[in-house]
Amino acid sequence: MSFSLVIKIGGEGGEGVISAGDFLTEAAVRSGYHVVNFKSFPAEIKGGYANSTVRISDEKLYSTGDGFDILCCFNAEAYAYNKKHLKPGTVLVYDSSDFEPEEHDGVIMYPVPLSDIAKNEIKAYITKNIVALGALVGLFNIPVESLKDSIKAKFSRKGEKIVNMNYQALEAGMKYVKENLVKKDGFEFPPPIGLKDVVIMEGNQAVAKGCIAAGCEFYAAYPITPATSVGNYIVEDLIRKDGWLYQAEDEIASLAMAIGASFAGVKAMTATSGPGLSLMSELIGYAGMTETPVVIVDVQRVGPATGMPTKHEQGDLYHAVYGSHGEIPRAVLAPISVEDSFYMSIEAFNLAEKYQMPVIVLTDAAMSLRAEAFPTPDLSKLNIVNRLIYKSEEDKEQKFIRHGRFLRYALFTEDGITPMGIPGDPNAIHAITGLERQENSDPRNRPDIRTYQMNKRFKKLEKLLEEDYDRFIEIDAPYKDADIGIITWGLTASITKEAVQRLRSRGLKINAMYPRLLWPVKEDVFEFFAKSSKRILIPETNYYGQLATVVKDRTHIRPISYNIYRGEPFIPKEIEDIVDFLMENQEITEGRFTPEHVYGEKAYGLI
Amino acid sequence: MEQQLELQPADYRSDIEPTWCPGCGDFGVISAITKALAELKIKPENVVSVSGIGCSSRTPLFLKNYSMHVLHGRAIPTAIGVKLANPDLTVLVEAGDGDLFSIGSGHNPHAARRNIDITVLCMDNQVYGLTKNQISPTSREGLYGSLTPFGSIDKPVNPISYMLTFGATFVAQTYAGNLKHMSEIIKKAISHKGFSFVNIISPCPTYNKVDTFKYYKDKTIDINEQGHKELDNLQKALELAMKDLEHYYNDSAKVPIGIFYEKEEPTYQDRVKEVKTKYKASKDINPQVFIDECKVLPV
Ligand SMILES: Cc1ncc(C[n+]2csc(CCOP(=O)(O)OP(=O)(O)O)c2C)c(N)n1
Ligand code: SF4
Ligand SMILES: [Mg+2]
Repeated sequence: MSFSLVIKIGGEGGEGVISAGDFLTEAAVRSGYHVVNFKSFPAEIKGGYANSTVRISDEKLYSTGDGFDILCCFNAEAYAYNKKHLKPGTVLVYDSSDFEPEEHDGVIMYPVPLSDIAKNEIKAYITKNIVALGALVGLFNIPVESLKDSIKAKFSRKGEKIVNMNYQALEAGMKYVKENLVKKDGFEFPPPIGLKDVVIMEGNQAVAKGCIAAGCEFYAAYPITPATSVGNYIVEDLIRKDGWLYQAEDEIASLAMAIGASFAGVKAMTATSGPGLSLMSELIGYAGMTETPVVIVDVQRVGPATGMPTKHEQGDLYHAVYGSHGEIPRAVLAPISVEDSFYMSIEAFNLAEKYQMPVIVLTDAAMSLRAEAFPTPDLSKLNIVNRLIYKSEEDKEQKFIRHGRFLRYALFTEDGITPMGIPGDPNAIHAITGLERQENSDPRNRPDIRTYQMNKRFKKLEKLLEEDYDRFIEIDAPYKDADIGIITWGLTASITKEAVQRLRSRGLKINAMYPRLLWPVKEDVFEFFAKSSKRILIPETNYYGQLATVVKDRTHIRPISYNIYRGEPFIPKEIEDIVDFLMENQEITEGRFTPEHVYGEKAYGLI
Repeated sequence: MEQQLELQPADYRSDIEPTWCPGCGDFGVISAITKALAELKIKPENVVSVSGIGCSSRTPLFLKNYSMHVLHGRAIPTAIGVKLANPDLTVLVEAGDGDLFSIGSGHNPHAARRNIDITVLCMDNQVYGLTKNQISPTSREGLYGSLTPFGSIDKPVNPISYMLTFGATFVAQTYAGNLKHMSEIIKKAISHKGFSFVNIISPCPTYNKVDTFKYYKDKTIDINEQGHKELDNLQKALELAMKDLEHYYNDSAKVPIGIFYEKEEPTYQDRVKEVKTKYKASKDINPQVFIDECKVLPV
């Protein structure tokens, strides 16, 4: 990476911290660079500490990095939260009309009276965040035209006066820096190279856009952090597409409604977080048993019970894979980035429709608020799958009709997939039921019928493994005899990618595998990958090592699992550190490890 | 509309023989449903019957229409999903008192207040049949159940007044021993534009030895025949509804049957349509538009 800059802005919620980060993000995109942005809102409804971290680079980014290069504090609270991370070489820009920081060895300090400039020069305190951006422009050479364009794009609807006021604020910040400060750091934004054809989306927005692109027409949900914004982002698109979003009375109702809508013939979904997924358990089984396509998005948060509603954890994999009584065919998908969230949401519908089963998409609280710029998806190039619908005129031999009854659960298809009858069609009238049933839906307890119907349902997964599995498994294994092979999923996969780059550049032989489809599992793919490495490491942000458990269950691999569960994602450095630890301790070949093993007492407060 | 051949009640019956006990009230209910559908000339393929779990909830499996035998308590939200996805369908819920007033009771207020155009038929035997004799939310005090061998010490709910206060726009009660009344009421409930609720007293001779056909034979009284004609008067409807359970405590009290309340109000679907008009909703819009709205464009 020839250039990477991490700017963190912190301050009081409602002071424009988040929008300053958004402007910076957009300006970087307008200048032609790669960017990821992570925002953190205060837990309080009003006020409290908010921050936005923007990382900019000339190469594709997988994480927001290990920490900031530049910290911009709007108030003393933001400073207090972050001061322990002010390492030598980092920069602090702060509102000197609000507070004075302590001495920090080797930290470069730039006092700027942000509040005073906003109040006295611009006569509008709300422009403090733009004044701060002006200071950052003056100090680090952020392309001012790109920033102005971002401001204009946002405010032009509010009129020229507002746009000009913000331009003035920007210039006031720049001017103050020019007249009063001497640059002492080495951080420098390179010259702009031109806007590319990209979109900027947040994680939950990418899920929403993916689902609508897949043809979703019905969405039912009960509000829950951090999943609600999937609904916020999809609601108006859905209506414009003549679909509907129904705010249900609870999560059980939400999934029941989605299943009802799907039965009636439309692509349907719900989105929730852990507590809601728990409530949906019984109906997930019903969807699997009745072979009804439905997509369930679980934006994971820290559990169990209410846990930490706004915080990151990969704790719901067990529930997604095993939750609900009895056994059903299902698929569990986990995107690894925002861009991936878009494409995996489409895939979720494709799999649900093709295999007539519930598909669960696992994202998480941190991904939900992460913004990325990525190439504009071209829907005309994407594969959209629709369910197999019964058409009497195509069933010349009337294979699916016996004694006048439609055989919704016919046993004679090779792949277990049978056409669905859609209400309104006089030729496919049938019932669906959660009871075990024979081909024409009549409930039956017979051992042979039970066995045949189970086999029918699970045959669909065999087909999935044959036809669809491989494209979900990203394998990056350049070494025949790697020191360590890392397997990981979700947001941790993204972060691991950056760590792997760094480890390789230090000469370590590291292979990596990033499965996006976590269920079902194709044993050979895992075992083939494992053969290329002396040891397998599975880092995850959960206690047990949930993917590690699944891998141990489905394969012969005995991995080393590495687990954190503090409510924050890994930073790339932590992945590097566990690998270094394992390189120093060659005798470790399996087992569960946590930061205490690597860092001892100092394990806490890394981020 | 294409020319419609005469439909008979039998055209709505599947070839599965009901698994109910001889003498079960639900036999009458299914006859009334098929009679009503035939008279309304609604084609079987345009009817979706949705149920929960229970003896009564087996009804959709014995009908020839599109059926969803769902999970215990989840008929109403599932039915809502069907109706919202395809408003042209006639959507019926056929479920028991336990299903609708115990495990699934949380769904009732929301379906009712939103006036979703579905028809809910509660087959009320005042007991849990399928699980073999436990008291239900509509069981009278003192009723014996396997888990209350001492006799119920719980006050029963009043389904009629519940549904009225939740905002249902059609609320009626009928009785499985009166096929004519039952099918007339069900016909009106289905024809009603909006959320309709019909409580059907449907005795379970196997487990409820008190609320039997014999008990109800001369107990019911048709409130509409008795002069309740001002059907959109909620106050009056509530007054009548409050008398529904009186017979449990007073031997001479009657059980009111008939339409308590009926009022035309905009349905949920009507309101959805208004919203969609505002948004210029169209199936033809290319979803690429929604993606492109996230593009960073030159200014
Ligand atoms: C989640 C769940 N809990 C419990 C049951 C067991 N169960 C099946 S039917 C039923 C009660 C049915 O009573 P009601 O709805 O009145 O129907 P009836 O059999 O009396 O017609 C119960 C408790 C179940 N199927 N699912
Ligand atoms: S147990 Fe009661 S409700 Fe169930 S079928 Fe028998 S008589 Fe009917
Ligand atoms: Mg009952």
